[in-house]
Amino acid sequence: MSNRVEFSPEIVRLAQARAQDSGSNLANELARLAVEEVIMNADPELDLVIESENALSSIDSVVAAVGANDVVVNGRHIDVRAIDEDGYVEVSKALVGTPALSSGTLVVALDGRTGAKVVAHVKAGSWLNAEQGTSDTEPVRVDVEQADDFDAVATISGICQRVHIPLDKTKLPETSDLEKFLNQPNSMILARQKQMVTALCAKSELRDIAREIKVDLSRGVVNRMLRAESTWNRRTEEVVEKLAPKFKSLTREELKKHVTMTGEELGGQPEAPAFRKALLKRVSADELSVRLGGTAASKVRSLYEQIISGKSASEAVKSIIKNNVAVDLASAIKAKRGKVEGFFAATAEEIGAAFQQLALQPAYATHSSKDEGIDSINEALVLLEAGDVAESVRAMENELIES
Amino acid sequence: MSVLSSKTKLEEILAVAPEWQTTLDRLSGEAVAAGKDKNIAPVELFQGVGAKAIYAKLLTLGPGTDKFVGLVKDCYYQPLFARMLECNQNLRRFWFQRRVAPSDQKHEAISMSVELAQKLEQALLKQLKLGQEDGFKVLLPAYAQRSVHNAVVDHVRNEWQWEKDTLQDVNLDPEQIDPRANVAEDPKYSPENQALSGEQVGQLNQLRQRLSTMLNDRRFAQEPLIVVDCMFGMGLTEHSKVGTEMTMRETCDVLEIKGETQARKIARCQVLLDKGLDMIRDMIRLDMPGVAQSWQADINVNSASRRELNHHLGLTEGEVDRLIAGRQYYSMDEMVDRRVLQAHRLGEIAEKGAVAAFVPVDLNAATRRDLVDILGCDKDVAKKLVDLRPFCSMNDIVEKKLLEKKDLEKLVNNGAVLKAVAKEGDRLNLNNADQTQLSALGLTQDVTARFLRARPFLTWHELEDFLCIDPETFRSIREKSCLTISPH
Repeated sequence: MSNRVEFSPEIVRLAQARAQDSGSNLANELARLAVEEVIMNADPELDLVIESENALSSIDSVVAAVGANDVVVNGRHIDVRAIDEDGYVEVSKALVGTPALSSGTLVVALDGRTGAKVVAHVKAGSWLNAEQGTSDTEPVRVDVEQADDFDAVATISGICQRVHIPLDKTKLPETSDLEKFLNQPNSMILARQKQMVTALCAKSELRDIAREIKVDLSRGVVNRMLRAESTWNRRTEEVVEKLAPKFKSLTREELKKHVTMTGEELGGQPEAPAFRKALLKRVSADELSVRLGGTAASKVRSLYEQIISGKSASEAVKSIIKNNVAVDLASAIKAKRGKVEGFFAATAEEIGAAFQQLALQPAYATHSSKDEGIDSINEALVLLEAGDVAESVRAMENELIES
Repeated sequence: MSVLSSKTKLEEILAVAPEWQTTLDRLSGEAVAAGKDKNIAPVELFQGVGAKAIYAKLLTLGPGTDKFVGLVKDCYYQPLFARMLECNQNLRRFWFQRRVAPSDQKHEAISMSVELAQKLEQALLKQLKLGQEDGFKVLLPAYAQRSVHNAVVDHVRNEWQWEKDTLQDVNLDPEQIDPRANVAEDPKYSPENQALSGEQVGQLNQLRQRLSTMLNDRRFAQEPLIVVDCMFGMGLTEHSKVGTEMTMRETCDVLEIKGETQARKIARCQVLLDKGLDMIRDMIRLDMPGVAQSWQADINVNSASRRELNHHLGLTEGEVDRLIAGRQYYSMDEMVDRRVLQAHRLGEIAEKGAVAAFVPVDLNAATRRDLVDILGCDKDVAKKLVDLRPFCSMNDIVEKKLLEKKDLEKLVNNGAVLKAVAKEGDRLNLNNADQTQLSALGLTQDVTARFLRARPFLTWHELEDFLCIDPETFRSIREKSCLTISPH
């Protein structure tokens, strides 16, 4: 009878999912599946029947707490472990000396994730010997001698033929104790942990209770949260990367704070319309207040909304200033300033140069006294500055939809 | 043809095999002694007499064999298989992943057991016809468990394939389990598309802050936390890069984890990872109460199927219709504000795991079902969009006269986005690459075949663990490919 079994990819993936959710060891998970397969391939006349519902390994919380990895065959718990590359197997100390290990451990050598072979049997006594001299929190390790011709089926049959001592006299622990054990096994002394494992092996009603107990925060939940944390942080960085060149008055940290706060309000998808609108509004308001101080807040807001809804910056400014020539002059000044950001009032030289550029007479241009004209030009400059920000925002919106 | 009979199944069995009455009496007595019901089920009687006795009886029956075989099928095989299937760990895991309700699990186990019982009935009849001496083996529970195992593996494989095949089927019965959540080609499966609710983001921001504090506090062991930082790609220390998770081997290299052999290094890294995760778990428990509920079982009301909304959240048909028509929602309260649900229903569905997280739907990759169910797209338009994509820009869609500008704007407001299409030279997405592309990466035919059946993969660590190939080949695969829908 061959000890070698093959794994179907679907079964490996299910085992991976289980390992991730419960925090169990994938190699041990596959080793157990391999032993189950060996038993199922055995001659049916041997009458080796697997009782999955009685195995501690069928209860996620018990697996997470003490790394239980047993197969129950005809009422006997048989522990299963994968041998590591150095030829060792290890178990939690809480299992040593309990019925979960009383039939010893079947040792499996994995061949990648495609197959496996049962190569040895570690007797219960070997675990008890190895337990001596190790600290309570340390796992117990045993050096295993592998045998190519190891007969797993004969070993399992032998175990099943031994006299079976019923464990029914074990006292049932309180549910609160069981809950504590499943959530934080290390908060109990080792002897109590062993009592818990013994009771779980003995009483099916206790196993049923254990199945129903919800672990506060399983390893699977922690994994999910950490992966989500990484995803959310990456999204935040990507959005900041896009915003930074357009909102130069704000630091990356300030931008990041805006993104994280918007996420708390509207969820973690920067592509969502409400997210991008809220974020851009928040960021541009901050950018404008840094660039322009508190100047003409209501006009800036009105301008911002006009540009976001599709108007060009100069059209929007003209609709607010009502003095088209002042706006043209301001545009000329701004163009000449080039990429300089932040508002500062137009100088006489700048205004003169703009007049020359537009070939206009000062009196005709402003239709008013000299000071009022300059005010209009300065106001237009402020608004054009704001217009730049608003246009950046509009471009950003499209970038976020089509990334 | 079966004939109606006033006899119970047990009476029918005993009418054919009256000598089994003693076994029945013994079982009844044992049940009473154990404080159980004294009425014995037919399956218990069959198990009590044993395979050899059943087979011997069948061999003696002559013309009445078929009827008795029918009883064996209905009263022995079927309940035995149903029980084994209900306890099968692989099947339970598969159902758990797909959120199959316990009652549905039971029904599915029964229908699978009926099918299996029919197969074994044929096998039994064959043995009887041949008069094989060891024919009783097909009646042994050990034989039955092998059949159950094979049936489970086939079931999982077929369901997985069905999920992939029906991905684009918009006319699929909404009462059937939605295949989209489990399939590689589903854009939602891509890690970068994981939808996060506002509440979850709040908790993640808090988590990050706490982790940064722990990493600067020497009272906490630093090495385990750094391993977690590297393996999840959180960018909290100089060793890791945001969004780039490392495999165990890479973490060992980057952190120069000590060990005589590579196996020892990886074992040490695993211990550190477990310790780090436990430290974080304890910190969350202590400092961030209430977190678990948000992450236990989340059914996103923006992307859940009708079945999930109806069966898992307990929404009425009317509520489901209104909810789907009003998609998408940024928060649960929005459903009340927009009169989709009454305020008192919110608490009820939140307890059952409902969350509201906006889902961006990529017009270049989404399934037709997502276009219809999430964006509210017309079925014909959805078909055209899928047939004519990829699109370079939203304007492209208007220019191709697929949609009017205002209709496109409506879709955009409902969550439509456009992600860049893979270009020559881009990284290959392993989750939807074909066999030829995978072979070109250096994977053998056998590995490719296994990979195709096993995907999707969410993390490199998961993939490395599955493939178990030499580090050089894996490194090369990682350099040339990605695990996302959008390969950028």
